[in-house]
Amino acid sequence: MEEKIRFKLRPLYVVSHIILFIIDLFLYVGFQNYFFWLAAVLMVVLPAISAAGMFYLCRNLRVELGISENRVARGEEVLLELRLRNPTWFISLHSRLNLCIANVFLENASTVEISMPVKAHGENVLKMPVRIVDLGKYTLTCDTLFVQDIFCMVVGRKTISLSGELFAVPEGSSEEQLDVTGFLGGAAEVEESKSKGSDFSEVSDIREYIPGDRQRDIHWKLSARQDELMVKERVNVAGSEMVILPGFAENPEQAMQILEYVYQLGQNCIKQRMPVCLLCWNSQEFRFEEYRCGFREEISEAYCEMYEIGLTKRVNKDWEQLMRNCYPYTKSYLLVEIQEESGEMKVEMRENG
Amino acid sequence: MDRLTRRQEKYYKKHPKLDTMILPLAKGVILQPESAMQKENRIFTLILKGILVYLIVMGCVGSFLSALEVEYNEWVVHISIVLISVFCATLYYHKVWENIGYILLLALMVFIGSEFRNYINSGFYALANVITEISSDYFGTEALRSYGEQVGNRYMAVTISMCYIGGISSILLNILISRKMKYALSLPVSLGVLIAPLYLELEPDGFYAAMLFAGITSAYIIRSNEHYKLAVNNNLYEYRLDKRKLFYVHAGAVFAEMMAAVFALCLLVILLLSVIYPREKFQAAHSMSEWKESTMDTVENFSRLGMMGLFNFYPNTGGLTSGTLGGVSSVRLDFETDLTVEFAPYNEERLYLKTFTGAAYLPYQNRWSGLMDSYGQPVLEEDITYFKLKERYVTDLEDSAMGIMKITNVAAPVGQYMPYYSVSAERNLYPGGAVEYTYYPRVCMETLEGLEDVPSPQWLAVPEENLDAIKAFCEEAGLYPGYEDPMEAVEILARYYQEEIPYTLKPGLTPYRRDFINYFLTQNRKGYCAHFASAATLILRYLGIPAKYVEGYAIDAADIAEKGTILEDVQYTDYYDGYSPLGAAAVVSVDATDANAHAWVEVYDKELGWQVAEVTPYAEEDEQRESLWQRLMNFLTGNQEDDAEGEDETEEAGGLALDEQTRQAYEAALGILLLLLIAVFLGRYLAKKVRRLYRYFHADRSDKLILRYLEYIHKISKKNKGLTRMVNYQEQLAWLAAHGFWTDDYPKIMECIRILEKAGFSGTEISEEEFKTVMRNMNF
Repeated sequence: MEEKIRFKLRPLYVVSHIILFIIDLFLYVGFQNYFFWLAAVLMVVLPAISAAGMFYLCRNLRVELGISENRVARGEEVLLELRLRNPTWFISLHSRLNLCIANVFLENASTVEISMPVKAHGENVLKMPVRIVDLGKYTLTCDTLFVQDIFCMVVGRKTISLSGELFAVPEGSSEEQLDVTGFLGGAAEVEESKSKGSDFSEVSDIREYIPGDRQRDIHWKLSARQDELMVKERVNVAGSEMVILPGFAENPEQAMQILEYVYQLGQNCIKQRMPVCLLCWNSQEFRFEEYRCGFREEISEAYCEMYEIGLTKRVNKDWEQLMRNCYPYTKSYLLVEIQEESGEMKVEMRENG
Repeated sequence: MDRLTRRQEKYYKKHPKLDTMILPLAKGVILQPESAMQKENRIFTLILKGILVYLIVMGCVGSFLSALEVEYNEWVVHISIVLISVFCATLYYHKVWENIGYILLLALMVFIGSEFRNYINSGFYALANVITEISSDYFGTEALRSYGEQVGNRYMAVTISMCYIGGISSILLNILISRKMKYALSLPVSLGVLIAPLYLELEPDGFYAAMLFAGITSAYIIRSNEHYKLAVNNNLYEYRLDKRKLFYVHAGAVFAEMMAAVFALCLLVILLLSVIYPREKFQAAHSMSEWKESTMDTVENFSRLGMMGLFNFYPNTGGLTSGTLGGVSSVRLDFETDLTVEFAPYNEERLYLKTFTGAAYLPYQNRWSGLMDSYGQPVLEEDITYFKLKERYVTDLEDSAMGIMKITNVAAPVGQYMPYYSVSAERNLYPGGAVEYTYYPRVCMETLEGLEDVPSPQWLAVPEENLDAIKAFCEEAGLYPGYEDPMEAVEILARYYQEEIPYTLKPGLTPYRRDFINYFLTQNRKGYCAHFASAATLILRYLGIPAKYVEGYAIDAADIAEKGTILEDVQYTDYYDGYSPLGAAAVVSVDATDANAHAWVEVYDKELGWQVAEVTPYAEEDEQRESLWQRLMNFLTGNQEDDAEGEDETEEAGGLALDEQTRQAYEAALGILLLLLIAVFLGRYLAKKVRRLYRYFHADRSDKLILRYLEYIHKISKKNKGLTRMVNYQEQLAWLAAHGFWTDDYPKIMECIRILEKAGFSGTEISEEEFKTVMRNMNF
């Protein structure tokens, strides 16, 4: 981004300085004294140097934002560092920037005004140990830096490009182990009763490619012959994958509860050697995003991707219908939602169709 | 990047309570408790503030002393002020230390003040004397007010005095600077201190000027940038939850850089300017401004008379004043040599040297008009007695003589200093000059023939304005017209004076628009030689005796004997020829100081000619030492008194010699000052209240609740310091409930906390019901 610098006078301080200067001039005229003359010269020279120094400082001042970790568990501490690097010998006692901290997933944002001193030919670091209490993707941005001269008469406004990202995933607690055996058994029964054949790699059908299909399902030979992409429709085999659908509501607190639960669930499934497929609704594209996770870390990564879209875009009233439409061949899925009436968590293995 | 430092973690573990503090930086992001944030180096910050105070105080003291060119031990003053400034600043490190430290400091200052009071007083007086001397030179006046320096070593006295005054100033300024960076008061104070030397065109040293400029400018900068308050927990940064502001409290290193840069720049600019446009060139190019010209008289009066100089506008103030009277509240003597007289003493009587003869008294103008020559210059009249005595000497009669008197003007005002029975010199005697007078002493009291009956009617003139007062006084003193021998009347009058009217060097000013002699005779009834001689002249004239008011120097025979130096290398005959009652003694040289300045009366005797009539009584009381405060008051009110010990006629009673009108003016000024102070405090208090009310009535319900709540907390915490340690609503309400200030039960307290948090942080307005829920507990 191109750095633009604008300057603005602070009338209150300019006027008060002029008043002091006029008083000194009166004294000088009255007394005809060298002392008051020196004072008058200093009252011109010092602010002039200060203002000129501020122009120079404003051009050269650099701001950096550091985040100790990009991905943290909810409730963990993370250290934010704002670093002002000043290669010049001029100082400022008051530089200011408005740091915007936004949660992309929960769709909220706050701005914090931060003031820092600017040290001559060195750097000032502001360390902010923070605790992340909400899940989501945090973006920290700042586009303007204000630098004030030491006499407070001129403020320089500089366009900067400062950004940082931070993902807060649910805490992977080992204490609250969810018993997923029942879900796994239920899923296997449903799958087996509805599947065709027993071969894990059995292809039930061949169809045209639909955006979102996995690459590995493309039937390359047939596609080459027919000049269009053809996809092998496979039968999900019992125990091969747990499909989990977080049924988000608009309430952020409830959404976070669901996320926490799904995270635990996914972790435990993986622990039981059951791969997990997280389905997350995207109303912008009117499709489910699929996140297949075979390892625990992949769940965190899936969450990070999931946070990219705001919560309001992930809400729907009729999950059943959506699943039937989008995944007609998926036999079952685990819906995690919070009941509207009671506000309690509801986890249900559903048959599709 | 590091996580929390070990120190932060340690602190965090040590203060688990702070863990409960919630400081949301943003939604879902909580700033860790302040304890975990970076800490400022409090000691470093406080030392910097101490240095700031040192810059201002030392700049001011150094500028003042360097302008006056007073010698003192600069290092000692620098070190003492820097130590006191830094010590005072570091008192703010901890509340307990602050209280103990200030008590210790107070005790120390009292101890030093008591132990070194003579040095401190003397140093203070020395500076006052220097200013007086300089102002006397500047205004070209002779009257000199000086203060007795009890310590002979002025260098040491000024050093100790400045250490003390600088220390006190540091303590006071530190209170203003360290907490609230209230630099504004230092501007008028510095200006007030420097105004006298600056008015007298004395420039401070560039280095000290740079210190003063740098100190005040640095304080101005820090104050303007609003990063000066001391954080409660030494945090480098503080978070204002309501404004979502994370601002740094102190940055010691940057402050130090700023102060160094400002000082260096000030010094550099001053040095450059002193090279490019030096002070001498500046002064040569600048003349006195109109404003200054117009204020010279007032300032001159002020410099001599103190505050009353602003009310009484006398053009001259006393001493050898060429007949101007009334403007001197008290006379202070410097005992410096004014004249040196070389002559051969011929009798044991007092030697008089005339410099002014008052002919007509001008009532209400309070002055004597002197005899003037054709150019309007004051002259001494030719005395017929001189010619008669000369004639006797020339005709070689017995009991006649001729003497030579050599007078050197050391530091006396320009004029004639003529011994009796001589004629005035051709020109006035300037300081540094010398003149020889030939005189014909009256060595016998034989009648001189050919004298007039009445020399001139002017020597009998009594102004109508004074007649009533003089008549009443003569009746009171038993004096009536018709004395054959003028000396008889003089004796009666002198006796009456001695018995009824005390001599004092502190008679007080003659109130403005009052007549000097009437006031002396009817109301004040105390005075020094000018009072007695002036009144006596008119009294004697009223009695029909020709009389003159005379000013000059009077040297007693005892002074000559004690202080005179015999001049071995000169011949007696070169100085004296003829009959001498003392015989052929020796030629002596004697110094006349301002203590010898005197006013007396000459009366005319038909047979003897003009005779000296001494009516001034002798002082009877010993001098009293006065406190610094009294002396300061005297300085302000224009009352000056004599400090010298062991001097002759000038000794007299001390005390404030304020006349009624002066006292009233002074009391009125004090009253006005007091009222102003009360008005300022009251105004500030009311303005605060009005501002609070304005804010309250313009606030929404949430803000109103918070304002009322804070007021309630503030009210209770005044008497319950424990509450001040509670930092959030939970803790505060828990404390209030535990101490009986909050009557709700637990669920309702939780509800109140919720409402307060909503009102304080949510940005949404609370309902009327919620407002009442909380307010119900606050009993104002």
